[in-house]
Amino acid sequence: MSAGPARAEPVAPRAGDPQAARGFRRALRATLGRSYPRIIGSNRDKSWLFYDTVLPLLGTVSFVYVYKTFGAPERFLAYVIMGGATTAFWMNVMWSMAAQFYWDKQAGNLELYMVAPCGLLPILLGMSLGGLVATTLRAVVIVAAGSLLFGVSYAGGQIPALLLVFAVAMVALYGLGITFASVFLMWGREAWHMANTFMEPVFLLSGFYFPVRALGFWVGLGASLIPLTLALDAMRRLLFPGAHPALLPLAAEVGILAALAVGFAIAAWVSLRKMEMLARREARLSLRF
Amino acid sequence: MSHAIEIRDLARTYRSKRPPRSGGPATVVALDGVSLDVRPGELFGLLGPNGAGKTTLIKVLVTLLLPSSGSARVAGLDVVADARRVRELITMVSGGETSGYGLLTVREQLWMFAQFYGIPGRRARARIDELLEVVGLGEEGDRRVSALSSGMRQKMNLVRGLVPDPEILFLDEPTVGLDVGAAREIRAYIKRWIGEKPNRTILLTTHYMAEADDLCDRVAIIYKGRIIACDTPAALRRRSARGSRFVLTTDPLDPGARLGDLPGVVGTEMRTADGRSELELQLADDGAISGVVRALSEGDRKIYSLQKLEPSLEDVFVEIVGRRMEEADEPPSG
Amino acid sequence: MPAVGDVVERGAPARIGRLRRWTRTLRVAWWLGWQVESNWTDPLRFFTYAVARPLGGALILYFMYRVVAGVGRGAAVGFFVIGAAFWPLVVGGMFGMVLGVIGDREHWRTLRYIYTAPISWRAYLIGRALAQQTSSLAAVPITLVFGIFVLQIPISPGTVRPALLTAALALGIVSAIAMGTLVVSAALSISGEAWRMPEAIGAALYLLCGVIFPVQVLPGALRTASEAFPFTWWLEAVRRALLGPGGVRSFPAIGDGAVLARLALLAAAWSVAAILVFGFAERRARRLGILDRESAF
Repeated sequence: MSAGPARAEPVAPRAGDPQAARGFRRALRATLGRSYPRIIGSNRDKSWLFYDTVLPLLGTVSFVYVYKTFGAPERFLAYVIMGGATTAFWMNVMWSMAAQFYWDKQAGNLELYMVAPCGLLPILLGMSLGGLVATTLRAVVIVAAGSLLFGVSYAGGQIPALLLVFAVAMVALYGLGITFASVFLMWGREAWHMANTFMEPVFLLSGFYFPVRALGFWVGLGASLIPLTLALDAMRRLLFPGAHPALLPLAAEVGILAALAVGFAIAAWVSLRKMEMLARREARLSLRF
Repeated sequence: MSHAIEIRDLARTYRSKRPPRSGGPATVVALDGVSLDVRPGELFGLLGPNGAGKTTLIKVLVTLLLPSSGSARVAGLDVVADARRVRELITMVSGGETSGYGLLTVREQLWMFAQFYGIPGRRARARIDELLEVVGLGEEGDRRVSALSSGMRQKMNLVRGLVPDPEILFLDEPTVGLDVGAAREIRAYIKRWIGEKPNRTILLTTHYMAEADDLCDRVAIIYKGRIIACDTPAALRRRSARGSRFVLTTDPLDPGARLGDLPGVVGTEMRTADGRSELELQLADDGAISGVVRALSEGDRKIYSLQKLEPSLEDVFVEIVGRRMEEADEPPSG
Repeated sequence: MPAVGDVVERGAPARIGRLRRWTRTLRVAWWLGWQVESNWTDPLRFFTYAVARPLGGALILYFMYRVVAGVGRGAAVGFFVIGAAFWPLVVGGMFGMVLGVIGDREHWRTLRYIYTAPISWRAYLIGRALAQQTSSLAAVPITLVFGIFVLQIPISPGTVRPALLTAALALGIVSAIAMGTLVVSAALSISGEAWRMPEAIGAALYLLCGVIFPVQVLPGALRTASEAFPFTWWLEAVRRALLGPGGVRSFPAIGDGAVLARLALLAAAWSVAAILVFGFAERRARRLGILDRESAF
């Protein structure tokens, strides 16, 4: 082994460096650091091109043909394409956020995260950021390919409102993902099965392939706890003004989404702290299988 | 800070997953009233068989696990109340780790972890390059983690633990599963690091006697969740009540040779092969060997080799526990 | 010196011994697969897990139909419910087999020990596939009962033809195992990402095989391709066996006997192809030394 002194400065606080500022900088660095593998992963492993775009597109096309069987109007085809793109976000949140700590535990990463001074929240935020960037790219590919394939067109007059709805919904959705990350970690091997179990019921309740109003007002309102429900409904209304039977007025939908974003952010923070204490008390982090 | 690590009456029990057999315990005691002090600058070893409680103790100290009772302070901070501040001062490296993202390169993986410790990017990259060179992974920095051998991966993990330049480094079985060469390199670097940074502390757990003997300033032997001995390796060996032992090779001896009757000879074992006899002698004290040498010379036997056998930590363990280390493994408790 | 297997089955004629070992391996693999599939939770939660997806899938299609047709009843609903209820058998068969290779190789790390045991690895993988199919099959009657009583699909004792249903089910299971064998053959050659292959192949077959819409809606080339897969005919036969003559059909011009005959022929053809391809893939993996190579993905 070659010799050579390792002369790095210790990480100890510098004089005049307030602890809060140092903590914030560290959290920011941790968030960006953890988002890196998510973003670079898309570049390194090209299998996502097939699995995360072609695959959802195939499923989407199947549902498009269902509407074609009925001779449904064009906007229904667009509903399915938008729903298909949204599945990419749900899958990302379930498999790469909620179930991620479970995989990290299996791989031995979780213990290292837990002893890192940045805490778990910046690490999860990093995963969200990386996941959001990569998944948005995938969703755009699905919408573009699906729309071109079936000749679907949209009204493009309200793009800023559309982006606002999307942004608020994503904050709420990834907040939900972070909350689930703690819950799934406690469930252990059940996490995988629960993520699987939730798929079709969520696609149903959130109206991925049909206007959620079809479920009835109260069921639709209950399903609005899943951020994608109102996000899809609001975006469909903006893309098909006048034709889409929306559940609530636009302002109400955006307001509820914003409330969900705040609510899930708090829930994520609380559940992470609870999970961490529970894991330390009951030694669940030591169990691999 | 008078002690780097200060442990008082620490206990940790786990709820047993198995239903208790008739009268059997429903809980498993992993740590049972452990008290220990590790001084700043010390390379302290925790030696014990599998399931003795080593990893549980390290998990409590690195804030992964809460104690059931008792207290532990790391760098003067309580591991329960001040967990976040403790984490700023420590890192942990476990042996046999499979952690890491296969699609990242070694440098990227280490950079990512450096970010979790808040090290600015440029400083982190410079330090990573420097440490990779030192552990002999300079050429592998741009290889993907998934392409590394287990020895390389462990060196990478060691670098991960060293990049934040911790006050206290926890090494949990750092050489387990490695080949002899890789294990020797890891041990050599651990020694160098602590040698160059006299104000840093290492707590190392191992079940390899030779590793503890070779590396540690002091060693605590842990068995069934209790510390049963704690001292320097030399002092522990001196505790051995096995007295003085020698091995001697000579011309073939008559099986009836009565060396055991010589003064100071407590016991003998003889093996004869290839025209030579090998004698293992247990003596009351070192001085008794001269009587044995004289008796052989008078019997016209040449002496080809003579070696004094120092008691090992294994001997100390056997004497205290009554079993060899590998026979003392316990099922994992948690 | 006798082989290990001979010692295990001492005294039995060679052929009977082989058959017994094969079926025992199948049984043990089925048991193992069932444990992996079900022992993570209590029976009630497992039951919920088993029925949530097919029921959810059927309801999605029901509401899609309702928003366009304006009514909730019709022959089309029966078509969807049967597709949603039975399709998990196909995906389960493929997924069980792939788990037998990728799961054992990457997660449990037991592949090398199972492969070097004196058992038929094919029997083991088929057992794992059957275990997955068992849990999928358990959800079928629940989904159908839900369809009959809640969605009012037209299934009654008068419409059900048990002989056709039994024959179709058996051939469907064989076809799913054949498809699983082909998928696993590919999985032997690629990295841990192979665990997503059943999902990928499943999505393609979902589109091609008329699971949720009659295949006549597909464009010409895709329609021709759909007829080459046994699952297209399998679902057609199952629908005919349950819904009777009033149901929506993918091939209204073809008789029941001809549908079953095509299913049997395609099941046999795909099975032969699967055996050949698997043998090739296994030999290749051994030659390249990648049979038990973990991908550390």
